[in-house]
Amino acid sequence: MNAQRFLIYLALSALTGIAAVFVWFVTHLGMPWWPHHLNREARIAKHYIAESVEGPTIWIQGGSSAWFGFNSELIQRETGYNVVNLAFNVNMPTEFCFDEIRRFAKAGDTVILGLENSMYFRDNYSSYAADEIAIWASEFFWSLSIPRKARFLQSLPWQKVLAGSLVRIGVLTGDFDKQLKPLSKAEVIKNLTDHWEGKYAGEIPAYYNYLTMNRHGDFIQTDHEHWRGEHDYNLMGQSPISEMAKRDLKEFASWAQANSIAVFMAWLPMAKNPALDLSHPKAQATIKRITDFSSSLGLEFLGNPAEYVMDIELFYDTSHHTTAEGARQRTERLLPHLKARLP
Amino acid sequence: MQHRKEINGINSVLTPVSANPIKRHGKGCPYFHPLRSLTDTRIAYSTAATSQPSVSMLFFSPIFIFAFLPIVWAGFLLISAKGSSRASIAWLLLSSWVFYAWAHPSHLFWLLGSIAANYLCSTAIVRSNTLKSARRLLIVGIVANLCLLGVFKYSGFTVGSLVSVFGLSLTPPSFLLPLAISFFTFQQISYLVTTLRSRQLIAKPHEYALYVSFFPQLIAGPIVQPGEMIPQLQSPMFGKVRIDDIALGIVLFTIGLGKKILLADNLAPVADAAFQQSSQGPISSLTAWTGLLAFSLQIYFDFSAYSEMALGLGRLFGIRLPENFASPYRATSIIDFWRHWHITLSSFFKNFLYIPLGGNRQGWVKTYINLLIVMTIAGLWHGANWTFLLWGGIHGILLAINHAWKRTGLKTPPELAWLATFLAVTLCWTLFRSQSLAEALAYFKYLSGEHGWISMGGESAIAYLKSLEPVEIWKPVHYAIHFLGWYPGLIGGIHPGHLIFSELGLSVLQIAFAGIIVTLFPRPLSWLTTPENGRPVFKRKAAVLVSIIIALIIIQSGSFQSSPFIYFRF
Repeated sequence: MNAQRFLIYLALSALTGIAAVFVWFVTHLGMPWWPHHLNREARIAKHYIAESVEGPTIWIQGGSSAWFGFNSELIQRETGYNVVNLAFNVNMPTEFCFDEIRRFAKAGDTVILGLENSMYFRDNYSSYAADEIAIWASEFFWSLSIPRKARFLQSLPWQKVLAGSLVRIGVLTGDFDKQLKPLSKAEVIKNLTDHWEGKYAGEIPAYYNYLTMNRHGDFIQTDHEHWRGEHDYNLMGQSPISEMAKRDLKEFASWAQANSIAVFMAWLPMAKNPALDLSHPKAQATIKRITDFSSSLGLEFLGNPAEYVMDIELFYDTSHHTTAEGARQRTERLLPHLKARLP
Repeated sequence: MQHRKEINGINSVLTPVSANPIKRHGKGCPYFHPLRSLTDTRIAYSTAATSQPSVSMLFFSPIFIFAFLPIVWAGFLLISAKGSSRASIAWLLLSSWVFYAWAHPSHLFWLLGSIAANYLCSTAIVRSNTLKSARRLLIVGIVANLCLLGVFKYSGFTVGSLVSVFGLSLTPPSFLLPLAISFFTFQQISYLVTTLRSRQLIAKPHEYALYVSFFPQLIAGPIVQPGEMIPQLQSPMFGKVRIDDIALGIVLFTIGLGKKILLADNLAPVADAAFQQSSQGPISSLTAWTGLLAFSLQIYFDFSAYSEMALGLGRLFGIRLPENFASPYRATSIIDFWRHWHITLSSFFKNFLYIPLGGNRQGWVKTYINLLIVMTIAGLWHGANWTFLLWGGIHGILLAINHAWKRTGLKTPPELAWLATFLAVTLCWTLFRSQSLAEALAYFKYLSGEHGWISMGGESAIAYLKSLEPVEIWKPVHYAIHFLGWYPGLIGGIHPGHLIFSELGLSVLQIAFAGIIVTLFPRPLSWLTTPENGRPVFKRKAAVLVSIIIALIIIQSGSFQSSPFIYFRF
């Protein structure tokens, strides 16, 4: 064929190729399979808890430091509000975390954002989160703006898409049902409620999952080897607040204000360790960047970071996960600030 | 009460790390990230050259493909349609200088200074009254060019060598090597020599400046002779880009892009890991050979990619650049190899060094000495390091042996000749890739199995294969196949998934795939087009191939980390 025809043919076949890639990606969306069950089931459980509450509610959101690090029972007792802990993983994008609150919060409610410090500086999607969301929360992907969709896709290794597509083929062949089929929403809720009532006789599938969760959505700590390392809690870096965090938090603050929902910020619990030095100029500068940013949005922190530096014995399996006693102490330190601000 | 006992069972069998949460989370890491990208662990490959190509505008970078190239091309077509060829040249010149100055604007000073000085020298050669004075001016020009190159590229190496040999207390100077200095210096030397031979002003200043600066060939060649490009700039057809050229340009550029992103950059981590490991301690022969073969194919596809992209870009502007790379790994002799690898550099050395030294006209001993001299200098051209010097020297010896063998009249079976050539070239890459002679020597020892053939710990091959684990990035695919029950079961006690998706398995597969393309696939243009009445006729498979490459690049775009072209360092 001549060059002109060739170029037309090339354009058509290139479009076909791009369309094929798109179809391939779409076929893998929403195909939950191991090891994606645990976060999916935790989310189903948290949604179930959230849907069950009535009246003024305090919603807790953040990464896993918030899942592990609050005693919602104590907050409920002290404030009279219902308390639901929606947090579960630091890798989840801030936009995703805020969407989870938007689903349930209503006028008169309060939100506590216990974001990990890294969430203020992150300007991309982690490949872990992109994979998880593509598998069990594909509606979040479709809700993203086109530039964000592009960024999301950039974070998703194609091997994960391939794996999801293979599983999709496994559905057609029937092999999926043998070992990979996840629990249905109803099964998750039944297991969860049975577990709360002491009637669950099955195994707990991993050391944290939807069955290691109380009626508020807080993590229930079990026997576990404790973390004893060093961590600076991302205070020693010099990154600016990311555009992603700026935009997401700004949108969320505006939404909350428009819907008469109060939002407070919480510092994460930090373990005393050699790498943590809040008096270091770099740490001071990072704290200032975060507080200035939240102040600019009208969001107030409940106390200062030093109040949440706790003994390392109060930490569970990582630098960001407190033990049950750690969660209680952290909550006790937070409560005076919260109670002073609640209507 | 339904639950997934089978999952729990498999969980404990296949992911023993989950039994140890501390391990699974790592030191102080709440950010559980089980599927970390393989590319996280990539090791940057750097040579002694101190240029910084990593921030240059690379042909495969989004800014080049989606911003620079479309703007420059559209501007060129617009200006060519409306204005004079002088305006088109000015536009290309300006664009090329922006391209060059992108990473280090200060380097433009050296490029522009060199262009101005060489052009003045060429006009002086033309105006000189006698051949003798013209020759003298040529010598001055060549020496000045080589001095500039020497100061930037070799002064540190020379002083460093003097210090280590004679124990002098000198501090080796350290310069930031201007990008592409080796290429634009040689191209200008060839212009000066051509000017002397013709005793005519070959090009006007703006034509000359574009001849040196044209961005598709500026950074890593081809080293263009004046007669190969300047007449095209002076032709009345310049600026009137034919649709044939556009189509060919797109095909060549995309195939080059595919070779770079899909092949070279996927082989790079395999080579990097082996050479990095070997610099820190012994490695097995298997690892060493895997790494060396990966590098051999990496540099092949890297250079092939650049060459095709350069040719394709040239075509988009209606300029035909000389071929620089023509399936060199199908060569059945070292002589043949050098006729197909970096063709324009080989031609330069042949025309401007080998022949002036006497070439093959002064007996076979002198011929072999000339070959040795030329190749040693060619080696040194690649970088200021003893490894490059030795690499060139050994190629000189191999060329001499090849010529001597030819004199005997003995015939070698083509398969054997090919294998011997490929092995010789590949073994020599050890010197090219190593950071020092000591590292290269150690690597040769590892290749010979001094520290074990398959594994290091003295374990048997079977035990080693049984111990392999899938790499992180491929674990989802492995687990999907496993849980779907699609593996055939253990083969000789070895899990096929663990073998295929292990670093070794994936490396071998990649090397085999790349090797098949090198040896079995025809060269792109002859395969995808047929000439008819001086114009190319495109085959349908050209469009299909280009589309497949585009689709694969899109698929890989999320997870790939590319490295600059290897030849950008020279």
